[in-house]
Amino acid sequence: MDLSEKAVTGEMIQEPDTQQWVRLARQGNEAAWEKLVTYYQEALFRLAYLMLADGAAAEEVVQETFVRAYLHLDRYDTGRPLRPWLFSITANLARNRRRSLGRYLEAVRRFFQQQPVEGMTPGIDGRFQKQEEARLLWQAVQQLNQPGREVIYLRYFLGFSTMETAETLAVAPGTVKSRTHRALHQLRSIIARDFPALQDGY
Amino acid sequence: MNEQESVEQLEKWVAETAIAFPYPPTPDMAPAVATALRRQPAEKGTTAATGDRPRRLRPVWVVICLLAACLALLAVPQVRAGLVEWFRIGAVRIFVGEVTPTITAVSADPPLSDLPTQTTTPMSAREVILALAGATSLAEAQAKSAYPLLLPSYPPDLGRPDHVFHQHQTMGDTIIMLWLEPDRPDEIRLALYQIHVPDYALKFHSLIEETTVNGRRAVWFEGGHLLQLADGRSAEPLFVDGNVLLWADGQVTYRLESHLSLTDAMAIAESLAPVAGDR
Repeated sequence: MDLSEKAVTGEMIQEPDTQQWVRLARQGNEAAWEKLVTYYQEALFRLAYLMLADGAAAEEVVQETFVRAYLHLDRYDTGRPLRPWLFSITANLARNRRRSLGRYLEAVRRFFQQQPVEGMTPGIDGRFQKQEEARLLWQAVQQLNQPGREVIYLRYFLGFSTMETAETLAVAPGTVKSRTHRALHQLRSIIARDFPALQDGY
Repeated sequence: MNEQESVEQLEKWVAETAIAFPYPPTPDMAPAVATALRRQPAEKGTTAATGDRPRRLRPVWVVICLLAACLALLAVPQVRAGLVEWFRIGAVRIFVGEVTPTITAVSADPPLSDLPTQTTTPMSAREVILALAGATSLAEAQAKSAYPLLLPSYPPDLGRPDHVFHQHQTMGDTIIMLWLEPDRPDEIRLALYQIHVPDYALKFHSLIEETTVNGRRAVWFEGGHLLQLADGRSAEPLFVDGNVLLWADGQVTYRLESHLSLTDAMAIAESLAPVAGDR
């Protein structure tokens, strides 16, 4: 697993000195900012994609994230972790983007062109089956309200800790826990009602 | 297994499954970000080489772009909307927002046919019937369908449908039953859809009412709204001029379209019973 994947999953490794990159970028060092973009882009893209269901829109949101973050580096507190700050910008931009109906409609139409698996069928390729389960799970999650969706995306799809999720969403850790608990309860009902085949998985 | 254990088990499965989600490949955004930053005028408190002039122009540029974006959205022949939320009833996803349909109504909702999506005048029942695909009899539709067909027993004078259509789709099928007005046979009195596919359509409305049919969650759409078929056969949304009651029971989604009130529509919906014999 390379460094960028670990930036996605939040796995604790000897991370590059991203704060050093930020310090250099504040001094106008473009190469330092480029390194930071390369390091975080996959993780941010994945969050935006989960929220928008559209690769092109996700790409635009993440590009905008990096542009805004660079322009407002003076507002970033180097005493705090960088990743939640970047993710909070992406989440805000994606929420605003989602409110633009035309683009979201287009994304939803494209999403439907990928025919979902009607039922869980045993497959030779276990990885393919797991991916299809994940897609159906994502469809189920999309029926949650916005706070519920976001905690599920951050905690489980992207592997954020409770603390990181709290910092990204600018809420208390206790709020993350209660939202997660509520979302899982609702998700269980949604799966039972609309995706009963997924119940075979657990 | 108690409640808590059930949720813990679900959480474990969600965590194991979610990480397998198939994201599309991440594009390399560094060059685009660098280009965008180079286009920025004076940043972070530094003085731009060209002085204040770019700053004065920027708000106007932003306004023009926003206006162009808004005009582009208005030009899209579907909706002007502020999307708030969406959810699902069976095979139909429902988007609730401020919707102003901009295409002309058709007199009935004609899915899976060659009907044009826009027309300047409402279509007569005859035109709808001629255009719908899969005309059949009630007995044949029952024989072809993978699930029992249900017919309303209310109102007492409704009787059997005047026209039945069986439309086979990739992931299932849809049965459409039409009843005509007895004294105005060129008007459709009632249309009942029994949908047995995973994803049938998207519906858009500004105001919906949630209700129940036989204890199952149902949604009432009053007045004109848009419907976009999910199978891609209709590129543009269809405008539905009637009132629609939508609910699901297991794998079947039911859609009742008419000009009736919610009370009457619910009475019809709750009177559905299996078909007895042939037409």
